[in-house]
Amino acid sequence: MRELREWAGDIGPVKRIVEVPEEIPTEEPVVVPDPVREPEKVPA
Amino acid sequence: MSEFAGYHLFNHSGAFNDWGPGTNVAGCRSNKKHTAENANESLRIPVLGCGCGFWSFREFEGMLDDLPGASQVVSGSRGMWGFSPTDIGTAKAIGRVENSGRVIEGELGFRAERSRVVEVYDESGNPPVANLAAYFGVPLKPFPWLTVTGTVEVQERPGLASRVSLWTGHETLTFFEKPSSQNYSDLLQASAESPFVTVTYRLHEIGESKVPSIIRVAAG
Repeated sequence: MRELREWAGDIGPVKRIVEVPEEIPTEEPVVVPDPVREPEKVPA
Repeated sequence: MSEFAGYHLFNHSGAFNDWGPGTNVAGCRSNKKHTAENANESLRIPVLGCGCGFWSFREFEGMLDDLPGASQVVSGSRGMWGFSPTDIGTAKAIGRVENSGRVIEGELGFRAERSRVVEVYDESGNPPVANLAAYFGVPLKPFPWLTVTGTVEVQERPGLASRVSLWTGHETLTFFEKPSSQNYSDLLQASAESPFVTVTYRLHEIGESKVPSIIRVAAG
């Protein structure tokens, strides 16, 4: 446990170190916004 | 939401190629021996004693203090600008991320070997934030404020903000609202129309306490 008390950055004191399996995203339809073009700046 | 999901503030301090659509694998900017695949556990990202890994914070409120209108220092906000290799250079926005692989869980949040952006939040209609969501291929959603529904009791306090108690049936949340505020008017109107009122709120970290404040009253 000594190692766990070492500096852990600003996520706060370490609670645990774990191996997390990646969750496969579901195939639910996702509404993705269209890219928006910002108006071009006109020089004064 | 996964137990290991967190919120990340994408800001202007990092390089664009740290985050992309889908699952990202972290690198380390301070030590090339720190890699995601390192067989030596003590050198595998995220490394204890280093800042490497994808950073995210457990509470949404922890991301807010650098956004307009959110001047309070709140939980989880310290060090966001520090060692995080996770920022992107196009817009300032908050996203929710799903972490995987080796994950260091701290009291305030996570450092992870792998991370995937799953949602981006905005309520301002800011085009660069919409573009950020489009880049990641994820939905753009309103801020995930906390919500609560209950019955309202108002205690007026002359010269002070009124005490608004909202009883849910198993707990009471206490807010303080100035009688001149729009939220106060909306609360009175909503409670006159229905015995149950729904509000969205956030928590401010003040000393050892978490103090709730109303963001808005839901339309009836």
